[in-house]
Parts: sequence; structure tokens; C-alpha cells
Amino acid sequence: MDNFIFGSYVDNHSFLNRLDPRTKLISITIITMAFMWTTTPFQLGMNVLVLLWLYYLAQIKLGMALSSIKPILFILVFILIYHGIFPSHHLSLSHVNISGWLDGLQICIKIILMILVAALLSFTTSSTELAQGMSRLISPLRFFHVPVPQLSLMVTLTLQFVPIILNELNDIKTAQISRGVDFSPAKLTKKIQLHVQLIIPLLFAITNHANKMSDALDARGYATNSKTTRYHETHFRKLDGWFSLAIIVYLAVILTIGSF
Amino acid sequence: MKTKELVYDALFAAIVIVLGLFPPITLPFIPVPITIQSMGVMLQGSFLGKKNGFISSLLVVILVLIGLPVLSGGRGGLGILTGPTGGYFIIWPIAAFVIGYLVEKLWKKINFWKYLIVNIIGGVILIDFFGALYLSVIAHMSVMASLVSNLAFIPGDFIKAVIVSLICVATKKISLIAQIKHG
Repeated sequence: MDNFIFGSYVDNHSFLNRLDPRTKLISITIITMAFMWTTTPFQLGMNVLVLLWLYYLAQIKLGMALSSIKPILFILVFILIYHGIFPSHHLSLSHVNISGWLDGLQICIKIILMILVAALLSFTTSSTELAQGMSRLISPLRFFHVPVPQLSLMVTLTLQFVPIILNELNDIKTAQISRGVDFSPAKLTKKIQLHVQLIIPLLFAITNHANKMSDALDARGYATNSKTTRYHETHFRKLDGWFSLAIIVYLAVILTIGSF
Repeated sequence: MKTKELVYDALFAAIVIVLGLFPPITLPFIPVPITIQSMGVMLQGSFLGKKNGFISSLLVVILVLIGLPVLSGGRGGLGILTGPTGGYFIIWPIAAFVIGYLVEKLWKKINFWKYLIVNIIGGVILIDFFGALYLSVIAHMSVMASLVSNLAFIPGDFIKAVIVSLICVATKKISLIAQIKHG
């Protein structure tokens, strides 16, 4: 459960840890774009160096991050094989066309780099900080009637609801087992029926819970349109300015090299 | 926005997280295991309606992006978005909105079949098509090739749409759409 609440945050007071969450969100988005628009092996090499530099700044071991690649390994192999079999141009090495495999490899490395750089964000920023940074950044969404100020309360509520739902689900399951329901059928229709029979009572039980919760919030004078103070205040410092500038310059460099 | 809507949106975001904790279902005639998490998106749309379905789904997106391991298999973080499968996930709020919009349109005469069609449109076709499009951009593949790589998931997604529709018919009276429509 702890792992669930804290994600993969590593609190080590590194340079990246101390930056404003908004700086990190924007910078990492920009770096991802730079990585995405990479086309030549030379640019790819530069990206690898930048990634290593960033991991050095964050004081995170790369091996720790590599585990996040595991779930998509299958897709990466698929992408590699696809490009190997359908090469976009010809480059023969003793009568074997290897250009496709090289292209595929380059694309796979590019994807891995993009995932690793994005993972930095969760390594160096706590979820509360990130939630706040993000709610500041998406505040323009309020013009589309998205209740941005309430989102942070909703995030907390959601995390509170998870164990409640799990408890409720357990109760329903126990009740059904005690009435003789077999939870390991082989037939498809039976499997569908089981899920339906589990989720319908769950929805009845937890909407009941939600109604009580919203009455309780109302009774304690929670107003959905009032201004509230924040637990963590974010500050944009000089350091943030320099870091953002460096990242923007890097994007410009990658784009200029690519256009030659 | 009423307090009730706010609580319901949070509740259904939590349901999506809980569905991600279920072990994937394996069926003999379908090559890939079915994760039932995307069922949650269909539920959000058909139970909460367009506006609240969108917000509830957006809440899940925010939770994932801030790095909580809430996607099935304990995945989370911005890396999901930059990975090849990011498209299947970032489209959720739009999918919930589309499902919610259609359900609200058909509300007066809604039945199992209408729920099913709506969920197939918003929860299967829209999500899989956008996911494939995203995959083709990230992996430099042709759209056709990534659509074909999708085919393995279609039967599972179809089963999920059937399950959600069965649930929605039974819980129609307590859905947030009904509660808002009748005060």
C-alpha cells in the first residue's frame, strides 16, 4: 500500500528534486519532444548523453529506471521485427538487407529514451508536489468548465475510496462464496456472469457510501466554489529559469541539426 | 458542480484503479489476456454522463501522470504517455465523454442493446483506433500495420462492452445521470 501512495519517488535532495514541479513538468515535456523529433544516429547519441546527464543530476541509478521498460518489451520486439521485415529503404550488407533492422533498433532506442526521461519526473517529484504543479498548469481547462480547484480534493478522495471499494468487494465475494458460488469457472458465459454479479451489488453498496460522504461534506460546510489554501506552495526560482533555458536551447540544437 | 458529483467522480476514478488490481482474465481462444481496467472507462461514461464521466476519467489520467502506479500491472508515470501504448490511455477522458454524451442522448429509451452499441463505439472503436494511430506515430509504423496488431484485443474489448452494458441496465436507476435528471 505504501508503494501505491508514494509511487517511485526517491527523496534524495538532488538538484532535480529541488526544482519547482512546474519547471520539471514543462522541461521534461520539451525534452520528450526533442527526443521524439530525433532522426539521425548522431542526434540519438546526443540524447543518450543528455539522459545520462539528467540521471546524474537526479542522482538516480539508471538500472532502477530500466525496470519500467519490462512491461513493453514485447511491443518493442514487435516494432523491431516489423521494421526488419518491411524496410523503408535498401542498405545491403553481403546481400542481406539490414537497413530495416537498423531503423527498427534506432526507433526502439528512441522509445526507451523517451520512457526513461519521463520516468525521471516520478523519481524526483513527490505525488503531492506533482498534483499541485499539474493543477496549476491545467488551470486554463476551467474555461471548459473543468473544476480545476476541486481536482486536488478529488484526488485525495479517490485514494481514500480505493480501500473502501476493496473491502466492499471482499464482503460481496465472501457472501457469494458462502452461498456456493464457484469463482473459478472455465466457461466464458459463466465468467461474464460472475463479473456482472460481482459489480452490480458493488455499485449499489458504494454509491450508498458516496451519498453519505457527500452529505457529510455538505454538512461540514464544504463549498465547491470557494477558495482554499494549499498545503505545499510552489516557487519559481532562478535555478528553475536557468534549467528551463538550458532545455529550450537543447531542443533548438536538436531541431537545427535535424534540418541539415 | 455539486458535492455529490464531485464525490461520484472520485468514486468512479477509484473503481478504475480497483479494476486495475484484478488479475487479467485468460481465455482459450483469445491470444492476449484481458485486463478489465478499460471496463472502468465505459462505466464512467455510461454511469456518470458526459461531463462527470470526462472529469472522473481525467482524474485517473492525472493520478497516472503524477506517477501513482494505478494502471493495471502497477504502471504509472509520464513514461506511460511517451511509450508506445500511451494512446490507449490518454484517450480515456474523450472516450468517457463520447459514451456519456450518447447515453444521455438515448436516455429515454435506453436498453441493453443501446448501451452495448454506445460502449462499442466509444469504448472499443474509438480507444483502439486512437491507440493504433498513436502507436503508428511513435513506432513509425503504417496505420494499417498497427491496426492489425490491435485485432488481438478486439474480442476481449467486445466482451468488456457486453459486461458493462449488462451492469448498466441493472444499475440504471441509481446512476448519476438518473439522479441528476430527477433532482
